[in-house]
Amino acid sequence: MLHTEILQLSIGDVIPERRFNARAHQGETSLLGKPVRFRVTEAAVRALSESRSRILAQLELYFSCLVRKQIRFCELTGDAPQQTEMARVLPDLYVSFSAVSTQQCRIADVNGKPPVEALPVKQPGLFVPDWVKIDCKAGKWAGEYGFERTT
Amino acid sequence: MTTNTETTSADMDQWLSSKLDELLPAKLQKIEEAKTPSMAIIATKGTLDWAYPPFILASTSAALGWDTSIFFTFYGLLLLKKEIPAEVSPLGNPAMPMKMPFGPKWFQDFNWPMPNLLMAGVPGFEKVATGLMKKTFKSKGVATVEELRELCLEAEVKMVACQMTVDVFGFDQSEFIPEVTDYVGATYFLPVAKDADICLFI
Repeated sequence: MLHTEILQLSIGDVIPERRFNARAHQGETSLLGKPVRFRVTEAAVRALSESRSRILAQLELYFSCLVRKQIRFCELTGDAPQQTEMARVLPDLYVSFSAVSTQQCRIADVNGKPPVEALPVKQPGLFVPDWVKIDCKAGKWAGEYGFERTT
Repeated sequence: MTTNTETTSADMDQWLSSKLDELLPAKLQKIEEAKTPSMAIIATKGTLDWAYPPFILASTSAALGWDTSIFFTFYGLLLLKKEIPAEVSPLGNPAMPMKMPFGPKWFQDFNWPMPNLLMAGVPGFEKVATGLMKKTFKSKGVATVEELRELCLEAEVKMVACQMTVDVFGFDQSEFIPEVTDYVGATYFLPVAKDADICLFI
């Protein structure tokens, strides 16, 4: 049985370029059928290897009065994830994507667990980002993602 | 004989009428449920604050699987430029908040009592206001206008431009993103708006 425990929510974090040194991880992984470029800082790679648990970064595209990008970091415990909607970036780092919505538009609801609900997106793969950056600083997970023109 | 035929015909009509009353609502509901909803937006403004609504609504609508079209006309055409030059203007916009996106909380919460006339008259204020708005949005994780446009394009939102405005404003089609579906006139878009479930003028 797979369990998730929310560690933190990353909103508006910017990972400075200097955090990506030569030992940072860079790679491309398919998420919901779309190739996504991943960059994981050395600090995050080290934190993963030192941790005894697996980390899931849930990329959430939050549709409200504005469209917000947020990443919910969770600790995965129990059996190894089997879900096809999760992509494995590193041995202990998984990523998933979902479009979410809420009845409330309070932007202050950033800590803990904002009341989000899945948006019935017809083709979620269309909204999967092009790139993702993940960092871990002073024990706190942070990340950002974005979209680029593909044509 | 005639009376019998009329009676049969009346009975038939009554039977048909009651049958339709019985079956039609369910049939119409089934047709309505199978229909893909649609939204048509007319985007007419090119400032940064007004650039968000058409792209937010269009991307949300497309996420729900609706057929979505945006008709860009007048200043809205600037939102189709390869590099979106949108800035926020304090001129004639007394509702514009003057909150700082950085510093301690008391500093961020402070309401700067700056008269609109002064804000609008200070050279370079538009650049400052634009920078502050972009920084505020970035720190809250809000997707940029460019990203929202990208989402719309990925989700196959149809973006059409007003050819007449392109000509009048002296633009060239090469200045716009290649994904512009077509350069048309109002006579093309009005039937699209007529058939849409939701039509918005922004």
